Amino acid sequence: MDIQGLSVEYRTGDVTARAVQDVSLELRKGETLGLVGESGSGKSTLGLALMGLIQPPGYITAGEITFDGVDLRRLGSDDLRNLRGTKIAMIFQDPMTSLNPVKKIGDHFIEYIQAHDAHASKQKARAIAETVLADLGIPASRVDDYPHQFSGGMRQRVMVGLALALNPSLIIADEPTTALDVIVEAQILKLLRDLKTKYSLSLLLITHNMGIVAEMADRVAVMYAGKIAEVAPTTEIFEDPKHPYTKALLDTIPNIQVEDKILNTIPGSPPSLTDPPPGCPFHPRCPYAFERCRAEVPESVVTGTDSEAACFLLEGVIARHSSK
Amino acid sequence: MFPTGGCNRSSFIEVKSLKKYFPVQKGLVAQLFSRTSQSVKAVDNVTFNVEKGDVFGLVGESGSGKTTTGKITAGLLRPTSGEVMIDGIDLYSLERKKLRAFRRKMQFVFQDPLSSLNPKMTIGNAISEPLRYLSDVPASKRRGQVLELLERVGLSPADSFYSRYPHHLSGGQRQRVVIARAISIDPEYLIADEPVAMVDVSVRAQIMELLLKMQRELNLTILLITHDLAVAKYMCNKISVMYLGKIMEAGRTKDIFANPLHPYTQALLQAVPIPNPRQRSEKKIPVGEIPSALNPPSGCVFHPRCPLVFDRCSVEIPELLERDTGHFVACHLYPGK
Amino acid sequence: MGNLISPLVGKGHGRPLMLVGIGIALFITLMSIAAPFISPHDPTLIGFGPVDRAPSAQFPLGTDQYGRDLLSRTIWGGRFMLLVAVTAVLICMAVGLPIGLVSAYNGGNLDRTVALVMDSIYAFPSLVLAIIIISVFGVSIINESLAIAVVYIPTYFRVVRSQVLAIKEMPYVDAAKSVGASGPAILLKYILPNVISSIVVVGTVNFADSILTTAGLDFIGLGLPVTLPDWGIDLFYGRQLLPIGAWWTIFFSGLMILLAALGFSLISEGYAERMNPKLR
Repeated sequence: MDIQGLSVEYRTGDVTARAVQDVSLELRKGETLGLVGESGSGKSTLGLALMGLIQPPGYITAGEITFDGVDLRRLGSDDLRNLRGTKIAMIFQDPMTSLNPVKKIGDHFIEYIQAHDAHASKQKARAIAETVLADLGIPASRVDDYPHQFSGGMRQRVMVGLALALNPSLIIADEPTTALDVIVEAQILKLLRDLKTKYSLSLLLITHNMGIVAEMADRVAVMYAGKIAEVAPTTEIFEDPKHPYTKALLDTIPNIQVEDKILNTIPGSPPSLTDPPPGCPFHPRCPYAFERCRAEVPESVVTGTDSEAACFLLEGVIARHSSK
Repeated sequence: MFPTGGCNRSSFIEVKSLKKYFPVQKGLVAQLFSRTSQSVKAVDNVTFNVEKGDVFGLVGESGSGKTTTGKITAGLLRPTSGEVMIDGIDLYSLERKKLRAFRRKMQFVFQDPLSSLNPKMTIGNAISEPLRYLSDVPASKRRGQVLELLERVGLSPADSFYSRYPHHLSGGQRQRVVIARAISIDPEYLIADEPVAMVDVSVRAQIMELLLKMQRELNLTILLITHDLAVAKYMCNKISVMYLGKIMEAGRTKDIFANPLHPYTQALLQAVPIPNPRQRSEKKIPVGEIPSALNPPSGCVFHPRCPLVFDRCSVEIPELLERDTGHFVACHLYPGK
Repeated sequence: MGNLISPLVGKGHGRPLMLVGIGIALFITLMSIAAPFISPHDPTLIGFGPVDRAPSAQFPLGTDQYGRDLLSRTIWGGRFMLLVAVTAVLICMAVGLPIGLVSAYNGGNLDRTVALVMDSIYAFPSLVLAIIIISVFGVSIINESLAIAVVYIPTYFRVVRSQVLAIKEMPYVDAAKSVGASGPAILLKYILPNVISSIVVVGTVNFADSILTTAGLDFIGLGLPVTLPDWGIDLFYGRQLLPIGAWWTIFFSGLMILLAALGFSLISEGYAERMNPKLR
């Protein structure tokens, strides 16, 4: 999937929040891309935009989303609906509210499958459901249970199963384990990894947890205040971060395997999306900010074979690279 | 220092054989016809001691009973049985008036900073509340104290924060307000329930540092309730790992992280995602999830999911025994010395 | 208190609705208050003008079968209704609000019992109960207000109760307890302010409903003494005139009743709609 210059706004009353600003990003086939950011970074909005789920008061105001050669923004709502599930599927954060409490689990699958293929018989849909549940480690006998009879972790498994039921090639998971306990989280992450390998999926993993990203992602994109701060392969992001925000973020995260790690803090707080500061959104909190940062918005510059970051400090890097 | 091992000096907080069972509301018919009454065994025979100045962590997943235990030690929830002694006084033997006066000594920092502040009350008023009810500070002096507190927790300029409402503040700022409110009456004991769970990642360190700073300055004893092992490791000097209402392992933080004895603790430590991509390894993850406290497993409550389970585990409840000095574990793999 | 006003300002859904409602309500209220000054003639004067005259320059709204000027009657006609409505709403709030607060906060069997009682009253059709009360106790502003209030109190109670039940589980109430606040203080400072905006919505609906109930009672003759000017009474008279084609009496009074009820309902609707997004 190729995202070019995507911008999303939310307009409520007299204020406009620019949730996503001019984001360009590439998702490669077969990879797990971790999209990291804190609240207000725009990562969830981006995920919704890719699924075509932005509704008023949200509006996509610019940009293109090209998936498998098709420009998603030009698709009508019917085509988009067909796309969802069969090509791209989404897993949301809260399994409690994502399932219909008065529908059996099996019926969730049947409804979902039949919505995309009117000719699918109930038996066929049910068979698919049972196969999927087997993949998830849920006994087929439970296909007739209701959501409240499942635990939180199992419900999230069901969500993963629903996402996979129609064989999509891309899964967007928005904070899939945030509402879950640590051990169940480990189970779900393992499940995602296994299924990804088994079905050759591509995965966009949206999270604020750097630990998850370190475990799961091939590449990482860091977002801040609606813009992409940095994109790089996972090891590079952790061992050689280029953007001051990435560096600062990594310093604030405790690591239970590191003894006496000193946690730094980032002074201040994320900027308002309705009244952002001029120039680079991170400059008020950046230890390296200089004059230009306050005036201009930095463009993404290439910082390595497969990485880029949006920071004026890095312009020197290109010079160094090109002089080699 | 811990459970039963007879100590001469009494600890600041002593929790003995604490139990909290919540009866389950049944329909009229069920009530008439069933003989057994069911209850959710949220806290089932928990014993631990906290010394003055400790930052003591109650660590566990949801359903472990840690929050209920915390609330009981804060005087907010009456236990079904067992005792909570604070500074030698049995908390629940006090009559209402005295209990309220005792509240001066302990304060609670809740998990969600947004819902722990009255949306219709200004920040300034919210922080003055404890001063109003639990201290002798006259009304005229209250504002001054509140402004000082705001500065102390890093909310500057205090004047402008005083008259704002909670929804004007960010999550991290709100949590600072909650902390300011909690320390306003100079308590001796602070119970913090997931203080950073709902705060942004980059702000968590600030809040944790603030709590530790307040602890040093006021010689606070803190009971920290969390599911996040990294937070527990950073903040606590001692921790108790809870599962389904019981303590599985307890001791100094260093000891437990360096040498986790209980299979559950080991599983927890393994499961935590590490922010280091070079550390990817195959994890041994227990199957299933934490069962309902309505019908806890027999014997050791962890036995159905334990990779090292054997016969004795489903039959006998293991006692919390001291394995190494100050390191306690409740597991049949470690029979008492 | 500022938070009660805030839905009134700012753009967004529901505001036009609410403003229209406020406009109508204000118009009617001001008209009723100013009636002695703006009414061209005495509305009770029988034989003042020709009988059954259609709207004309001299009598813009026509006259009724007793020769009374309808314009004057229309201007005066809202007073009684508004007075009853205001009294009813005040009684409801004075009774329903505290009972709901205290009962829900304390919970337990007392609360369950009170709720049961309230639900039983709630099941009663308001007009029937009003008729019973008026028939037994006679007609007066107080009696009519009471009749309406009695039936409406359960609604206030329910709304307050459901809100209180939700709010009392909130951490900030626990926090209030842990900072030593006592029951009454918690009710007044922590629970009441968070409940009050929903009361406004119920209050305005109550107001509109009471106007209609009063009109209904007047129409069947159980309202005011028939000599006083009142839209409901005019409906009663107007009905008698329909066979002869004199539409104006029933029309204008009916229109005013409709407007009055509509105005307050719109305020209620608009306010409710505005409140929800703000709560997010």
